[in-house]
Amino acid sequence: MNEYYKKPVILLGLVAPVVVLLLLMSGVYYGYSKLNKSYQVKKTTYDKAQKARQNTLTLQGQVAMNNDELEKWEGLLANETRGTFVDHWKEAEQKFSGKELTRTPHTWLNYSPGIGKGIKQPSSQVTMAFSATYRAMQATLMEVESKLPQMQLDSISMKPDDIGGRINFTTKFTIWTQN
Amino acid sequence: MSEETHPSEQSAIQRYRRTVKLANTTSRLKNLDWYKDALELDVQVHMYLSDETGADCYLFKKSSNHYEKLEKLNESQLEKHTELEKYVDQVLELDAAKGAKSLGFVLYLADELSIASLGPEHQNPAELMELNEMMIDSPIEVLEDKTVSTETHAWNLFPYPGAAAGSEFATAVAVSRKSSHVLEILRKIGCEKNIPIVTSALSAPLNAIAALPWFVTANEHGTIVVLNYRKFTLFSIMNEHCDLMMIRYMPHPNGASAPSNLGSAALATASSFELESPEINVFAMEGQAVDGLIVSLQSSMISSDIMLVDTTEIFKSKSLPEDLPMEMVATTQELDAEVYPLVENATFSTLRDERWHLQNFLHPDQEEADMFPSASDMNFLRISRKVKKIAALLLLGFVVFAGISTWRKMSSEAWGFKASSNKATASALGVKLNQHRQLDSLLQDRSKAWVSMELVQRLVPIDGSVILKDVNHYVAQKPEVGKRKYGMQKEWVINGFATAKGLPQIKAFGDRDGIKKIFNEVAIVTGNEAYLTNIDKRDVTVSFKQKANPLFNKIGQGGLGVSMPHAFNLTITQSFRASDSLAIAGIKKITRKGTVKKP
Repeated sequence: MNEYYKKPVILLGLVAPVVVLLLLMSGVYYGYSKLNKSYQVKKTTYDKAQKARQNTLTLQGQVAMNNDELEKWEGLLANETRGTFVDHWKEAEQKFSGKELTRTPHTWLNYSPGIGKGIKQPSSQVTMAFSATYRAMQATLMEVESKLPQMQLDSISMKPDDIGGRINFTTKFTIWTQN
Repeated sequence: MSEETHPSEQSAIQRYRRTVKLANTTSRLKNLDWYKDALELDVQVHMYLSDETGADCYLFKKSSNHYEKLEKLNESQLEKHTELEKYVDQVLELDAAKGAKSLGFVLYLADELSIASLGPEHQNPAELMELNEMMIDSPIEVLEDKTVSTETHAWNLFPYPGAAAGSEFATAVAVSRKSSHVLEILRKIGCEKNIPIVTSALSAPLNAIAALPWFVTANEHGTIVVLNYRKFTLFSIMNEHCDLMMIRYMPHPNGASAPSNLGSAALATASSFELESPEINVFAMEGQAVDGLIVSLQSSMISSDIMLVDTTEIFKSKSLPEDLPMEMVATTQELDAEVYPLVENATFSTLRDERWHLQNFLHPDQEEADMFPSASDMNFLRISRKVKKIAALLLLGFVVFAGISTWRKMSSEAWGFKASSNKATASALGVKLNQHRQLDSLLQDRSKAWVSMELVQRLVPIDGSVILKDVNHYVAQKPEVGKRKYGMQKEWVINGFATAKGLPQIKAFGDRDGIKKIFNEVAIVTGNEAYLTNIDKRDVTVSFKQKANPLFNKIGQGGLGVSMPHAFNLTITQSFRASDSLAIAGIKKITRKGTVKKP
C-alpha cells in the first residue's frame, strides 16, 4: 500500500466509520434495551392487572351465582333465635298427642363443645330430652332438622322407658349462629 | 486543495478525500488494469525508438494475437500532448482496439545503450537480486564508476548466466531518461480520459538477446551474436551451450553504420573467452546494410562461420508480420521448447522466469506515483465499503426492528396502562365467597338425628327377636395436623338382647360388609350422603360382642329382655378425613394432632 494513503484509508475508510456505526448501534441498542425494560415492567403490571381483573370478574360471577343462596343462609342464621327455635319444636309436636311425644325443658350453652368447637362460625349447643315413640320422635326430628339446617347433631341417646312403652331420648345439637 | 498537491503536503483527511474522489470519479476502483504492467494488458502499442526521427509503432492485441502496424510517431508528435492524445484516440478507434478498457504503451529504446561494470565489492552472484534492488534505488552504490549520472540515465542489472566462476556475473545497463516525458504525457492522457494507459520502457538490445532462441542454435565452438543498431552495435558472447557470458557495447562513430575496428574487437573478445572459431550471427536490427561490418569480421575471424540472419523468413513461416521488430517477439510470444530447445538453457530460462529483459527502465517517478493510491489502497477501500455497507445494513435492520418493536410496544395497551388497585373489591368478593363456602360447608347434612334413627331402626328385625337396651350415638371432630378442615368421627354404641332367632340377624351387621350395606341403604333411602361409604377415604368399622343374658329367665318376668337368652354389644364407628366433602370448614390452624373426645 502507498504509505501516504494507507493509514487514511484504513483509519478513515474503515476504522472510524465502523466505530461510528458501532457507537450508533450501541446507542440504539442501549435505548432499545432501556425501553424494553420499561415495557417489561409495564407489561408485567398490565398482565397482573388483567389477571386480577379476570379474577375479579370470576369472583363477581361466583358471588352473583351464590348471592341468593348466601342471603338465604345469612337470613336463616340472623332470623332464628332461641325463641323461634322452640317455636319450630312446638309446631312439630302439635302433630302428635302427649302420649306419643313429650318434650321436657331444654338447656342452652353459649358455645358448642361439640362440632362447633374451634370453628370460626359462632355456635351454641342445646340439650333436649324427650319421651316419645320412635316414630313420633323421628318424624319430629326430621321436620325440625329439615327446617333448620344449622342444627348439627352432637349426640343422641335412646333408652326404653320402664313404663308406658315409650323411649327416652336425649339430644345435643350444635346450632350455628350469626357472626 | 489542488489535485496537483503532493500528498506529503496534505492532511490525512485530505488524502482520504483524494482516495475517495479518485475511487468515485475515475475507474481506478473498478478497473484493475490501472495497476498492471503494460505487457499484461490486452491491447498494447509497441513503439520502437531507434533515432531522433520518431518511433515505429505496432498494435498488438493479446487476446487474439493480432499485430497491426500503425502510423509512425515523429519526433514532433512525441513531444506534444495534443498530438499524442490524437494518436491515442486514433488507436482506440481501430477495430482491434475498440472497447479496450486499457492501453499499454511499450517503448523499445534502441537509440542508446550504456553498460558498466559492478563495483569490486559487489562480486557475489548470490546477491544478484539484492543488487538489482539497490540498482534501482541508488545505482552509484553498486557501480564501479561512481561518476555516472542517475538523473539523465536509468539503470538496471542484466545477468550473465553463462559466466564462468570468477568472471563478471552481470552487467549494469543504462538508458537515457530523455523519453520519460513521452511516457508521462501518455499516462496523463490516460488519467484525463479515465482509461488506464500503462507505460513500460524496455531496452531493445536486451529483448533482442531474449529473442535469440528463434534464430540461433548452440555451437560447440561458442557463438557471437552481433546486434547492429543504427547508433551502436552490441556483441553477445555465448559459450558452447549458447549461454550468455558477456555483452559488449560498441558505439558507432558519427554517421557510421558500424563501429570501427569491429573485427579486431571481436577477435580480442573471442580470445579472452578462449573461443577459437565461434559462430558469428549478425543481425541488421533495422534492415540497414551490414556488408562492411561482415567484411571487417571476416578479416579478423578467419576460421569462424559468419552468418547474416534474415528474420523476415522466420516471421513469415510463423505468420507474423515480416517487418516486425525482432524484440517484439520476446515480449509478445512464448517459445515452444520442443521447437526451440535453447529456451530451456540457463540463459533463456532465467530470462523467461525472472524477466530481466522486461525490466521497465522509465518508471513513473516517485512524485507521480505518490499522487495516486495503490491497488492495495483501492482494494482496501473497496473492501471497507462493503464492510461499511454490511454494517450500515445491520444497523438499519436493527433500527427498523427496534423501531417496529418500539412502535408496537408503545401502541400496546400495556404501555399506556395506569394501574388501579382492585384489591378492596377483590377482598370484598373474597369475603363473600368465603362466607358462602363456609356456610355451604357448615350447613351440610353431615349429622342428622333422624337419619341416625333410621340406621338404628334398620338394624333391628321387625319380628321382635331383638330388643335394644340402649343406643348412644356420638359425633366428634377428628382434627388432622396441618389441615384446614376438621375430619369427623361418628360412633354408635348399641346394647341389646336377642333370641336365638334374632342373634344371627343382628350379628349379620357385625362385619364390615354387612354394616356398609346397611349404611348405603340408609343413604339411598334418606338421601343423606354422609352414609355413603365409597366416598373419599371414609371408613366404617364395627365390632360385635355377644354373651349370655344374665337376666334371662324362661318365665320372662322381671323386665326388658329377660325372655331373651342372648345379650350383645354392637359398636359402629364411621370416620371422615379432613379431605372429605363433609369435613368441617372454617377452623383455626391445627398445630398438633387432636383427639376425639366423647361428650
